[in-house]
Amino acid sequence: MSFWLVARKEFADQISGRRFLVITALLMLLVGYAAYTGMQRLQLEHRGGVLLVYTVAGGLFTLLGAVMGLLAGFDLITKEREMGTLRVLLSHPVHRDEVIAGKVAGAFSAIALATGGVLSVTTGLLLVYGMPLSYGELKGVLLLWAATVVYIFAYFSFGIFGSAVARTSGTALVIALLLTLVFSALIPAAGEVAGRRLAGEPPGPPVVTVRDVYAGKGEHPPEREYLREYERRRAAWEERKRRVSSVFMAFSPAASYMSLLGWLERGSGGSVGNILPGLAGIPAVFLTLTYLRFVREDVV
Amino acid sequence: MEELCKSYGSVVAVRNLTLRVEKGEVFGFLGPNGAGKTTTLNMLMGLVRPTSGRIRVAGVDVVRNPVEVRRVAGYLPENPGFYPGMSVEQNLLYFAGFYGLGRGEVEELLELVGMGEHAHRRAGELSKGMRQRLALAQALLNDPEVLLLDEPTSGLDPGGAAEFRELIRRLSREGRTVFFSSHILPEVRAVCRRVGIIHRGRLVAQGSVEELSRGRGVRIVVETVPPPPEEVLRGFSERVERRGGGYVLHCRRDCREELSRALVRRGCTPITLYAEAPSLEELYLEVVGEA
Repeated sequence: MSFWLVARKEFADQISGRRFLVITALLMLLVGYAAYTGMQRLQLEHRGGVLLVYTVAGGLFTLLGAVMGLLAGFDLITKEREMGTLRVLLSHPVHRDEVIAGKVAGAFSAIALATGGVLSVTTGLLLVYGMPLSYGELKGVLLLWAATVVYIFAYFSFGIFGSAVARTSGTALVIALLLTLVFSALIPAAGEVAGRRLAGEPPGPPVVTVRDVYAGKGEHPPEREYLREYERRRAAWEERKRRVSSVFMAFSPAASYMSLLGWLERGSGGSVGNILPGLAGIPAVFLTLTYLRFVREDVV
Repeated sequence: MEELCKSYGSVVAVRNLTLRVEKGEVFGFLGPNGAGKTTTLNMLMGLVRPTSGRIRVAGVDVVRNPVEVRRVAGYLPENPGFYPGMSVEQNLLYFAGFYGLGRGEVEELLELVGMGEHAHRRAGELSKGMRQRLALAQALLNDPEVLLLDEPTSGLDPGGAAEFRELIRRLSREGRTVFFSSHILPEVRAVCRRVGIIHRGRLVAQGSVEELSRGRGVRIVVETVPPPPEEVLRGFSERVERRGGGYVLHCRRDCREELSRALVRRGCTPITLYAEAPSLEELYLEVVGEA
């Protein structure tokens, strides 16, 4: 019962908060515009399914969703500490795990509501333009919604972790931003570097001299065997590099989310890649750390 | 509390604190800033985990079962905070939800602490005194057996402080235990049967004010006609001060009878002669100074 009390209050606080409303309104506007341009592309190119419109719109979530997640979480605990409400709250018969779970559930629901609202607007626009969704496309949209909520939640987990370990909201925001930097930029960049290192030297393009051409070696270059050999070796090198860097990319929520968007755009064809560590593992780890920190901390 | 200790790294906040407060007692917890009062109260509510030692509140082990303690105890923390965007009533209703209480009980409590007419004001707009009243209301939500109060009258106007003292007396008459820390010594004296003085994390004295003042000397106020020769007074006390038309003698024991006889022998008729017990403030300063 205490869990529901906390979750209900947290949900109400989130959806009535100025920050949340501004970000959601901004998302609505941008996604509406992106959906409109996506529909035009669809009509002009006459290719791809309706999901293209959603994936164009979904691309906007990669940046604004991350901001929404961070802002929803970074002061959830520090603000209560700073205001002195945490002491008052915890002097009543409520378990700390109920408090933290209630806060997380409230924020999760608010994120789900906001993203659901944004995707509903997109669906509404499609219907206005006479583009109804098929059953398969509807499933794809629901999958996109779930993935978007989980993606934003990953950044929320950075925020709430910062809030659990820091004394002030300012420090919590810095910690959350650093984690965002690490998982969105540093880890993918490290993956790229490691991929290049471990894949070995990239094969160089064949050198064709004038003499080779005169000797007949340079005739019809695209058909020559040595060029095909170069392309094969280059593709093999690229694959080796991709394999290594994908191990790193799997830990990036943004890379995992984009991989899922690409998969949806391709009509759910081929492999989606290893997206679980980035979209589920990372939030799970940071939420667990937050929980451990919060239930053990001295409330002074 | 038994052998209670709390350390933060190398800093010892509370050191081997052993203290027992009986059911229905009003106990005053005194000490300078940073002495360990708030840490002790936070440990009593299970907000801070002790480094070692045992604590029981109303028979419940705080370390093992902190949530159960909060069902039987109410806590008014120092500088209590409320959700600024919510009204006074909404704040209290939120906390009341943890006990399954509703609007009726909340309205009753708001009336009790004199906040009935401010129920719909936003908590962010309250004065410090009003916040303190609201904090008292939330501490009383569960009709607690034990009430822990940290600087409860800070921010209250004299009228509010008097109402608070009356409320404490009433709760005590109802058999509730009240443990509170305060800097306002006359207030502690007015409502507490016993006091404990903590200094640098150690309990340096505890007992009733009379017990604490025992063995600490007595002040004798004397005025005679004609004024007494000072050498007679110095025969009873090394420390003699002038006060108004008379003198104050700091004596080890109550020696009014001998003093009176000595003054009469020297032809001085006592017109004022009484013993003055040291105030709680003096005792406090003396105990803390010794510690």
